[in-house]
Amino acid sequence: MKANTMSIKKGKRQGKEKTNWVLTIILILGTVTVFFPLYMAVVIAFKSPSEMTNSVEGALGLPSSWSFANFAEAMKVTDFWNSLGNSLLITVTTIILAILVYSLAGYVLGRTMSKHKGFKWIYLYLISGMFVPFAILMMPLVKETVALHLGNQLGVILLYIVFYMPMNVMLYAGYMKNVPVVLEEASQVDGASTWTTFWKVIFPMMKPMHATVAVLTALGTWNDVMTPLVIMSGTGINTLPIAQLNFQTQFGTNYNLAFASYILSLIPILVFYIICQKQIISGIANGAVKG
Amino acid sequence: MSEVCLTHINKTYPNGYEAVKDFNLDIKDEEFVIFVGPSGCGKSTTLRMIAGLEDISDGELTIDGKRMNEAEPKDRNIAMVFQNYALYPHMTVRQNMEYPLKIAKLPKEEINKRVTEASNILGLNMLLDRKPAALSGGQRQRVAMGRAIVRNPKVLLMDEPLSNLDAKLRGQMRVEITRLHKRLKSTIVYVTHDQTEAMTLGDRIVVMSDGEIQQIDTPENLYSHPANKFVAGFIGAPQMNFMDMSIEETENGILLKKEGARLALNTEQSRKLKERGFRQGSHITLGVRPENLSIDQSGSDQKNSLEGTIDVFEMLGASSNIYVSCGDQQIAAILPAGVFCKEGTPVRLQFDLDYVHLFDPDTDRNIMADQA
Repeated sequence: MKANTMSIKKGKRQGKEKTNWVLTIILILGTVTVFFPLYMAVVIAFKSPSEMTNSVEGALGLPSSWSFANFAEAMKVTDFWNSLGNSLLITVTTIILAILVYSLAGYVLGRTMSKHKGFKWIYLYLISGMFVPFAILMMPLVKETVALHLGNQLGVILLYIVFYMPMNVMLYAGYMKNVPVVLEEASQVDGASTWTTFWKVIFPMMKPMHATVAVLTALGTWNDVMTPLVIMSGTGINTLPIAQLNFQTQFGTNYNLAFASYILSLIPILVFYIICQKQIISGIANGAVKG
Repeated sequence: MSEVCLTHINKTYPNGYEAVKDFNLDIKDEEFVIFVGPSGCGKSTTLRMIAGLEDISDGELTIDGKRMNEAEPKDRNIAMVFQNYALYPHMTVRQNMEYPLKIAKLPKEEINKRVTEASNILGLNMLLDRKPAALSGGQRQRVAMGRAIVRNPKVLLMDEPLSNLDAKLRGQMRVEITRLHKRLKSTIVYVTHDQTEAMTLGDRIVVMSDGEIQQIDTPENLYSHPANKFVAGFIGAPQMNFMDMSIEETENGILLKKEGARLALNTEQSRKLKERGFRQGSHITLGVRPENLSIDQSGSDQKNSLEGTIDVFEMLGASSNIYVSCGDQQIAAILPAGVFCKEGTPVRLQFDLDYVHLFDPDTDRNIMADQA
């Protein structure tokens, strides 16, 4: 009864609150910034090239008929299934390896760096990788991968594992502060080795961080053009973003096909994000605050 | 057979802090030993050294005669119940209890049998498919104990397992732990800072302070014959009253004097004091438990009493506590049910001199408990 009264009072008080118009306008502008390009992508993907005039109506108006012809053509031009297969192979393998490698490194560093200076330095060394731009490394990396016969999907995957390591190891190491040490001690007393303790106790408890790392890594690898372009150039192996470069020629860009293809390639990563989103929110918050 | 022997055990941290100093204890098979003491006295550190979760800086630990200093926790055949339960949150109750058995690679039938047995003992049958987050504090505590007992360990270690429970549940769990010990007949080492748990559960109690053992004894002896002032003050609530008294030698024995009090010691007490070299004019610390004080209503025997004013009166139901101001000191006394006092009224407290304790003010040792 008392609780009800309190909630009613609270509700009344909330009702009297003034609308923060500045914040509301900023949020509306933010929403428009996100949804406008998405709207344009969808609209253009369904339009025929003849509808793409220079007028505002031609750019922003709805298509006269909703046709999937652009999608079919885009799939043909990009060799969609083949490119999708390569993208999936690289992305999925990278995610699996990323979770395994980074969680192990994050576990070790998260637990030891406060006790041993050496591990602290290793951690800082790894983290410093975040500040090295890819462009500086690009040419030496191309030469090295060619020399090591890694100018293929494996080479791209290995490079992704290295590139995403600083950020993700930082997230995992920070998340370890949320996992009580006493659980590891309990596992040891229960008869488990360190290895068993990691796989049976620590690894399952890192689930929110696995989802976060998986989504961050998936977004990066799925949309990346530069790494596969420079590493696998001349091999004939295309990922979706590389195949989509076909829509840009020196004479112009076929926007209808390009946007149809972008939407097609957006679907898998969107589905993946929706599956992981519940976990990712707590994961990012934990890693950010505690790390 | 599960005997644990700690011989000259020391724990010194890299910063030089000595957490445990020269700890010697032989724990017999099936014995229930309690480590008790204030926070930071080294009791949990000692337990963790037995478990293998802390390195032993010096000394030797043996379990069943085998040196265990360097053995990993998994090789010691011990089980431990942690203060915060340490249940694996992603596993169900059943999986939590199965975990140590699966690691030991026991056959599935044996695992099922042991989990069923433990859940029957602890009343966990209805909770086996729940995860720890869906359990109450008491249920979690029982699961933690279940996970420990399924292994039939040589030694069961408990680190303040009841400290997170409310008073009622703590009382219930104390009874359950006593029953469990009788049923399992295992060697148990139990850490607590709660003297009620220590007094009710243990066969023997190890009282610690500043990393050192103050006394190892049965609950009865600790209470009746505390070895020193620390043990006397730590065991018992309200704690023992201590008074600085001066000695006056008379023909009939020794009188202890303080402003407003003259206490005539009995022959045995006088003899012990004299043997220890306490003479006319020397000082001594007198200890008297609140239950050995009573209100002197007749006023006939002013010799063995102390005058003061009632500061606080606490009604507890079965008894009452009063706190009496006597000069610059406050004295606690326990009164039987039905006695009511008004705060601010003068009162005369009568000493039951057969139960007073005499402490050497220099060493804090109990003169009556020490062998002459």
